[in-house]
Amino acid sequence: MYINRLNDNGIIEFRNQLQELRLGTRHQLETSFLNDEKFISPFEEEIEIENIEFANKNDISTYLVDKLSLTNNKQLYYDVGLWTYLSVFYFHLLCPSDKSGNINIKADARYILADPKNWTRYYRHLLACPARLLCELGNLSDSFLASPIHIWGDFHEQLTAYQDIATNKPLIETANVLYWDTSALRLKKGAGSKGGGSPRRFSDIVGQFELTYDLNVMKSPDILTLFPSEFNRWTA
Amino acid sequence: MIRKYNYTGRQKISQDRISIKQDVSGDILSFNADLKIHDLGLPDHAKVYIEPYFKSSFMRFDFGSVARIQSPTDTYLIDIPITDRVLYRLKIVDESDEKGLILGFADEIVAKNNINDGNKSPLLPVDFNELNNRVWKLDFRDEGPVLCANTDSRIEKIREIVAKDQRFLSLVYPEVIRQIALNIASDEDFDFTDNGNSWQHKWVKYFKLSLGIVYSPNSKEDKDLIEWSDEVSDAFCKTNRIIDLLIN
Repeated sequence: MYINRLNDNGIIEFRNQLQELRLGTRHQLETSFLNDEKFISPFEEEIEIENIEFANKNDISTYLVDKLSLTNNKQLYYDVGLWTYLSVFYFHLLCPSDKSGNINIKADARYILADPKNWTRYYRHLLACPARLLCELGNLSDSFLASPIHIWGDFHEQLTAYQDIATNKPLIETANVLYWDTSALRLKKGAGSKGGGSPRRFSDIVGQFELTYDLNVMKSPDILTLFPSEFNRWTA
Repeated sequence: MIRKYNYTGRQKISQDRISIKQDVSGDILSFNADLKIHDLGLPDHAKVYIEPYFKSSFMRFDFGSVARIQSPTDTYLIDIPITDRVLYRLKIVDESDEKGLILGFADEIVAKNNINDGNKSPLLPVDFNELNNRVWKLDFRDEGPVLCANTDSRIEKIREIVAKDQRFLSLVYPEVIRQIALNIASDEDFDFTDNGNSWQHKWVKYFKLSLGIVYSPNSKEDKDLIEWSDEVSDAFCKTNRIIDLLIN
């Protein structure tokens, strides 16, 4: 199928279907409106996408960044119709059914890219945000992108909720030193916890550091020395 | 009282040394900055950054060094939504040994533009932005409560409605006042007897001097907080003759 954009009608149709799925008056998303001109507007280029069973955020982000040449077309970061169209197309990956065939619909912001310059909503989108992080951070985004597309852990929440943290390369490099297992290519055990030394504490403490240091210009090893002993267990 | 330490000798730069002006072009804001920081004793080589932000949206612009301030050619706020309430942060940073020590700092700088006069600091600022299907909401931000109104094109003359429409004032503001009072009362760390300068203290001063609410909630129990907030709202309605506003 070729990439298009959802127009206003298409976004309303998608939003309505999401609500029907939540209420149980609908049991699966009807995606045929992706082929209906009433609901879509054409994309500038003919870009074909395939319905691949991507294993995680990294695989699908790599695919979409390549297809859209996103690194060179950063204005597409904010393209509401494009990312919402892709959400419908890959909806079975964004919202897979459980063993009983039930699907758990999350907030609209996970699927519909509304108000794209407002990071409070942007970072929740399950396709736009991972693809953007891959473009901006390169391999440093591995820790964000290793999980299945629909999974939203506390690590992701704490480190991407604020744009000044999510786009700060030395800081993300520091978070990776603490929480990312480079040999197993997964988050270290306990990285999703909420106690001392957790990603939640990381983002809290960074806010205090920022009163004294400009973390954008520091090197990751220097940032690491600022952290209190509660974080030592990750580097021991 | 919260004690604040400043071990590194960081200078707090007065906002009257910083003038930021905003322009709106289509759906993108841009800005320019006039900085008077040359006589603060900061090292010439220290780098100057300006960081506009709105809630969790953030951008960063390199303005050269203390000795040679240079505006970037592009100051479009492509990552910030259209809003009247963009705030700016100024950082003067020593990068000489990559330690990134902040030598000078100013925060919550309000720009001047054709909509919002940056010299004014109202108790309840109003912001106009996207609110999906809501007409208004009260948003508690770091700088305090902000009344937000929806810029959806289906609502004609929203700025006039918010500023002058007596029905809007009479129906919305009592609830705004109630929410603010409840938020302050619910804050475990807030001390009603402290003469601080936080936004909470400014509002409590308003409750006392303008509405005659000279007492604080009886306890931190929900029922007392709710009762006190209702009394503040009722006092607001009485003082401002809110029912008359609606029926006349």
